[in-house]
Amino acid sequence: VRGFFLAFLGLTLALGCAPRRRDAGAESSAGRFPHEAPPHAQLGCTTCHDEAVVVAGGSARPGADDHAPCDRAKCHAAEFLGPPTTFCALCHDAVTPWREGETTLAAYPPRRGPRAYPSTFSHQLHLDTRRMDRRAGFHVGCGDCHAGPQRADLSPEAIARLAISGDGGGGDAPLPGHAACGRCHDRQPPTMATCAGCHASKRPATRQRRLITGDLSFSHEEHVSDVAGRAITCATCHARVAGQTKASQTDLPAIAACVTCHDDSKRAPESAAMSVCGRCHAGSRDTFQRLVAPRSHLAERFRPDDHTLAFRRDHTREAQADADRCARCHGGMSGQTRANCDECHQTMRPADHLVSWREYDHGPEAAASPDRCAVCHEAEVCTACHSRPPRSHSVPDFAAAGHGRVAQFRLRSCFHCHTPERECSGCHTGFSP
Amino acid sequence: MMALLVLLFAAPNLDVERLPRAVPETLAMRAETPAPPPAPPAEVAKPAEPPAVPLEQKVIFKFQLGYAVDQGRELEGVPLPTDVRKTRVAYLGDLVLGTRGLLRASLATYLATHFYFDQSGSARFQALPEIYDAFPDGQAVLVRSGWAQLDGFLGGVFAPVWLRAGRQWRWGQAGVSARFDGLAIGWEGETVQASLWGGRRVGLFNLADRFGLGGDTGAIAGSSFRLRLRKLVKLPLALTADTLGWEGTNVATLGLEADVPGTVDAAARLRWLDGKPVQLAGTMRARLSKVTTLQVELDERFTGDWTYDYVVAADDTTGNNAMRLHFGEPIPRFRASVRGGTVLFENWDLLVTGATVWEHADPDESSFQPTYLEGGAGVSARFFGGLTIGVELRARHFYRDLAANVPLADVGSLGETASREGVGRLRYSLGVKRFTGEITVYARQLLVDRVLGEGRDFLVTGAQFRVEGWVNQRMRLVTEYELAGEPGEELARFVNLRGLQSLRVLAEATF
Repeated sequence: VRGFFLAFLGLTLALGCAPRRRDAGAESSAGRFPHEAPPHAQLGCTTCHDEAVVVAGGSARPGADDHAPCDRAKCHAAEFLGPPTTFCALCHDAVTPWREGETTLAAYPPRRGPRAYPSTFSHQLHLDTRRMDRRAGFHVGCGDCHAGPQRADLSPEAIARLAISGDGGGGDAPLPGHAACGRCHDRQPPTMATCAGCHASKRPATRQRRLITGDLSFSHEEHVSDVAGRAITCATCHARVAGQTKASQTDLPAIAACVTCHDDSKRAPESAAMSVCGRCHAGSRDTFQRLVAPRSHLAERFRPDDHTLAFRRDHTREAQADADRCARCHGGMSGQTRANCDECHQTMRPADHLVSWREYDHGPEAAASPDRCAVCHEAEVCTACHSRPPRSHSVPDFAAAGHGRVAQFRLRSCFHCHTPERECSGCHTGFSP
Repeated sequence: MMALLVLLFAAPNLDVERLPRAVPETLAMRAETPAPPPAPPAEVAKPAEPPAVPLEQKVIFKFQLGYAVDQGRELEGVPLPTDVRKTRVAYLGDLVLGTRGLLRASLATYLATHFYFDQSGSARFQALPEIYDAFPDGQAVLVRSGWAQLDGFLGGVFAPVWLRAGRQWRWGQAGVSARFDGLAIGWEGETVQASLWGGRRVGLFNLADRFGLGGDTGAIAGSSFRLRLRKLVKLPLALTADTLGWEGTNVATLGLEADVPGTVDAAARLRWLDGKPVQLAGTMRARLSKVTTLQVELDERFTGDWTYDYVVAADDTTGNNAMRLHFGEPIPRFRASVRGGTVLFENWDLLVTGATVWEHADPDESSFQPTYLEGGAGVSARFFGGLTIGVELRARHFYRDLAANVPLADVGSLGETASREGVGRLRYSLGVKRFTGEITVYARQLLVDRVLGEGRDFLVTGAQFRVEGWVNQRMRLVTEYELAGEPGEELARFVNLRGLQSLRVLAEATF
């Protein structure tokens, strides 16, 4: 027993103290430009990033001018004069100096890892129409910054320029770059020349994961209106974005948001139903996968995702934490944690309490797990039935030979009510049937 | 659809209603425009009014009315006595009424009742006994809860005080729930939660009057205390203490809980019965993801425990053992169980369970608390189109010291030796509050060692067909039909019944 409890304690500590999924923001910056390392940390932004380029809307990635200014004598001249090393990998995918065109720059900004000096951009402030009208004289919509092909009034070149470097042109609602900010922040504070106005934080931020990866495809252009011609606003999928105050908060829609429309034939065509895997996934899906969908792809109305087989057994914690959540679907509950166990357990019977449960099955279960019975029943429930003679006692010869047949089959059942010393030993001495 | 409408109408309108000035093809900055004059400050700043709570969130209402027919057949050659009815017809249902902040913002009320009316009005032998037969004519109205509660009615420093009066329910001590008519007062603070409660215990089935089994409605009282250390010492721990007093029996529990949000929560509790430690229990639940959980439970009962039986706790000298269920005193035993569940490949819902109970009383003296080992597994998959298929299996092996000739006094070695159970479910659903059809089939095999002769096994099979349709978001109709397979002659003779069937037709309205 002591061993079991020690093992239990160990398991609890192991799970509780186990390192949790690492925050990308806390990841090492190995392989990435070490902004935080001296002497970089002591340099001003414009020492490396060309202020004029930033003000003009560019990304001002250092090194574009034959590695300047990184190749200064006091900086990294030695690395640039020597053979390629891992140092080159800070900026380059591949370094093949003897072949023209085979030394390629890595994508910038990188798609993974922490983001240095993250922007303090707030969607909430920029989508506050009253504030924008008051401060700037106009307000903006999503497409003003995330300008994609849907902006017929802009040329492809202008759209590409507005997008952040490395994200322009590819997506149809690209991330806005300095150019997009510069349209207003040329004079509206913080101005483009004040780097710290937006990039003050030295704490790396988690880079948002990308949803459209792998074989998945998505087009904002195709989500302008539904089959009935009703407009699909940005807020239909990105409902929380107008309240988000940090650039690191991005209201990427969960697949459940897609299901809302794509499982509704009044909003999405049958060819774009959730069961048509190929509509979004380029990779092949065999028949079986088409039948057994990922749960996240099923309509919301098919119970909450966390209501699993295990949840059916162990839901105490959830019921204690949020009784209102239970009450939303399970009618007749008060929504209060002080008694919601009783409110539900008195009306919902367990799955195994079927027609034969009362007559044939419940005895062995009650003997093995009386604690389970006590979750819903008080002792009177047992006694309400067991206080009266069983049917088997009503046969005419029960007192004579009849009770022997029953006792022989399951003697233990006699002792539900009788004690051998009191009721049996009067006739049976020892064991002589 | 409702969710979509909410999204469309409640979310901020992000449509571009007025474009900024034309975007130039060059990135040259536009000229500054004079900002409009600031709006004059409001003369009197009005505090923001809380959003109005819709009536449907203030009112709790549920009315369920059902029609039930249960039936069994007599055995061939063993007729049921003439006064035993083979078919039972009854009306049953629930009525729940409640409010949340309707009359006063701090006031909540809740009334939960259940009723059962045997159509024949007779509680004389029924082929299928019901717990409601404990009432005259088999007709009962049970008031399960009926309370009024005030939260935050004092305001200020005493805002965490709450008060609940009426018929209420408490869960906790020794796995025993208590229903009582009385008063509970508590403090619901962020760091400290405490309550005192007491009153007259309620026995819903009125056995004292009917069978003279002793007092079942004596005074009962208890307390609870919970101190969260998160704010005090920055540790995700809480200390708990509970007490219960019932007709001379006093139970106290001390506990330590740990809760790492979103990862693991654990609790350890030591319980005393009349000043003597009787039980040490621990639970740990790890939530490794939204759908992956691991639950471990350990429970050691050192010594003979409280007989969980309110019916005779006050008076165990009635000599009416034959008038009640008599399991005897809970004996020392160790229990451990593990349940782990996850969803594999984003759909295959998997559950694995294991449990063991090790009875260590000396001498071994109870047949009703056997040593056993149990294992089980279940899997369920949801298909496109609303179809769900699931299977669950469980096996339990009992360890008993079986003797060839069992003297009557040695009842501890009697009983089943193994059980196996399999359940299959096929469910078709159009979604929550729409339409659901479900078929459940099951088989249970029980191996029993007889007193004389060879051990036998018998099989119980059955099925349930259930259809649930929602007329609208507030009304549903449910029909359930269940039938059991033929149990085999020996078991049928044991219960003196076969051919069990049950039909339930229910209509329910909720608000």
